Amino acid sequence: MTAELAVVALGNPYRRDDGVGPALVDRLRDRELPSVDCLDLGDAGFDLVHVVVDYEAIVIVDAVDFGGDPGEVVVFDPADADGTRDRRASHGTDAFELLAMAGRLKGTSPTVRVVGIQPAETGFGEGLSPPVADRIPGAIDALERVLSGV
Amino acid sequence: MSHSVDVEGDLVTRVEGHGSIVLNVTDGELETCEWQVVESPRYFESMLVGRSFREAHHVTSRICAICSVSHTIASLQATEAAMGVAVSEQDRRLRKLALYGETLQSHVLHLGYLALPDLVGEKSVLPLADTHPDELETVIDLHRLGNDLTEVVTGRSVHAQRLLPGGFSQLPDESELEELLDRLLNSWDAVAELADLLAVLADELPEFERETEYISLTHPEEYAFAEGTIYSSDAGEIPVSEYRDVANEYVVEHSTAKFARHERDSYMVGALARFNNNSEQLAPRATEIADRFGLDAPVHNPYFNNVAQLVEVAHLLAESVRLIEALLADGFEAQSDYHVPEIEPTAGRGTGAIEVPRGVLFHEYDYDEAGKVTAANCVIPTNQNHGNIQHDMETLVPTIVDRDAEEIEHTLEMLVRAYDPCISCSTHYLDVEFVGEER
Repeated sequence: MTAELAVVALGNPYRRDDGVGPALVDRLRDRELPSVDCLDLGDAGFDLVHVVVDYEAIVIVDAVDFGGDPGEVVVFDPADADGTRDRRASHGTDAFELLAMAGRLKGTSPTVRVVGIQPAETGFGEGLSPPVADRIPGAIDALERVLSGV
Repeated sequence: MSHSVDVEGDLVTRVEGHGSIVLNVTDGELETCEWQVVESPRYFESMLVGRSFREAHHVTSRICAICSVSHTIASLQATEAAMGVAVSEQDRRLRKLALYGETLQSHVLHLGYLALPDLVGEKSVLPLADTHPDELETVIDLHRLGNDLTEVVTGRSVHAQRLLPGGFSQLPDESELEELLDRLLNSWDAVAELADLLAVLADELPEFERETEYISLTHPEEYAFAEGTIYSSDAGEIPVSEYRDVANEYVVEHSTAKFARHERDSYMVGALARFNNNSEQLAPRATEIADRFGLDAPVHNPYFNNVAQLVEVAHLLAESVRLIEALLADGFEAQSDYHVPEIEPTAGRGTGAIEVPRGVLFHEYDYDEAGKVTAANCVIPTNQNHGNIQHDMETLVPTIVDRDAEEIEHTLEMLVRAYDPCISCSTHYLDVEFVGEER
């Protein structure tokens, strides 16, 4: 841990577009931003609690099925996402519930934003689908804008 | 009173992987009682064939993300045994430390996140943030300490990269070990807090006893985890090379995972089996916790596997302190950060056997003269426990059959969870024989 802000990728790169979070954070890492820790947690749910305790602000990057066009980006506060409970746990552990739980412990309440990318395909396989891959540059720009604003 | 109960086999939650309980009681008569493992086989043994001795442990690490270091070390032991590779005392200590860290995090994860909700009457760990915040923070801190211990030694908390046949590519910084030592020495209050909570809740553990065979490793000088000989509570010591005669794996119709049996219809591995076979070698602080719960080997209640895990948490912390102090006192042998031990591959067979969080794990590989795997066999602890879970259920159900279906189902789910099964690990291979068809 070297910074107060962490970008956390969630997702499985062997499930096509579910791996868009790790793919984006990989590219962000190449930009060597000085004040941001880039973390790839895959689908390791409980480790998210440790990150919440460590940082002042967290930006989660993940595939989010919000009914948009493939590759479209949505940015939101997970506290506002209560109405999507049945659709938000593709990794087996509900990341938002873990965030809420961690927030109730140790008086930690980091600022959390989710940068969600609409997936097209989440079956077994490597590599992003073409429509999602095409929109990666725009997603990176969106992610950098969020990072400069939290 | 006789009544009918039908449990339809929903997936058991708060276990790793997919398993179901199917129960049918009609007019008080038990008609069906099955522990069904429904995950797909994963073919790791087939994937190993043709792989170099330098990459086998990286492949098998991926069998499990909870006990990846365990599979890595068992794999390295098999390779080193096949090729006659010696491992230095320093590297054996470091491997133990990595294994202790992983077992610590796995036990705490199971106790705190998966089993504790049963005892406080919750469906998951999440509500504990409101009802037991201090204890939950303790669980999180201990879980993290285990992860950090593994990461400092192996470079990563999951899928270790520094472990190699014959040693380590890179050694940990002494300063990191010193920091870990401080955290370990300051962790006793956390263990006491967990013990306090579990002591209050221990009455919630069902009263059920079924004597079975307990199999673990044993070692003349220590509570066996990383090294040892097979020990059966029925048959005594058995050489590791005879592990196939211990597991006797077989296939049942209702499971995609193999079952195992030795002297009886089934046997148990894991924390309670280790405790029953080796409790006299526990660290004093671990024995104190065992005494507090009245745990006196042999214990025949499988639900007490949870308590045995807590006892082992104390032992692992004490042993990690001892190992780090010894490593720091002796200082590290100099080596580069990209060290690759020189090994001339030879043809042969080798077996690795270690105690991992859920019980004894065996890896066995055959190598050709080029150092490529020609055959592999991995016998995973959860596989060895499936038969015992099944027989526990068959014995337990008639004693609770008059209760309502929901309570019976919950009691059986708690039983399965007590074994801390890692079902994804266990679905490793099936021999499929096609009958009555020319192929």
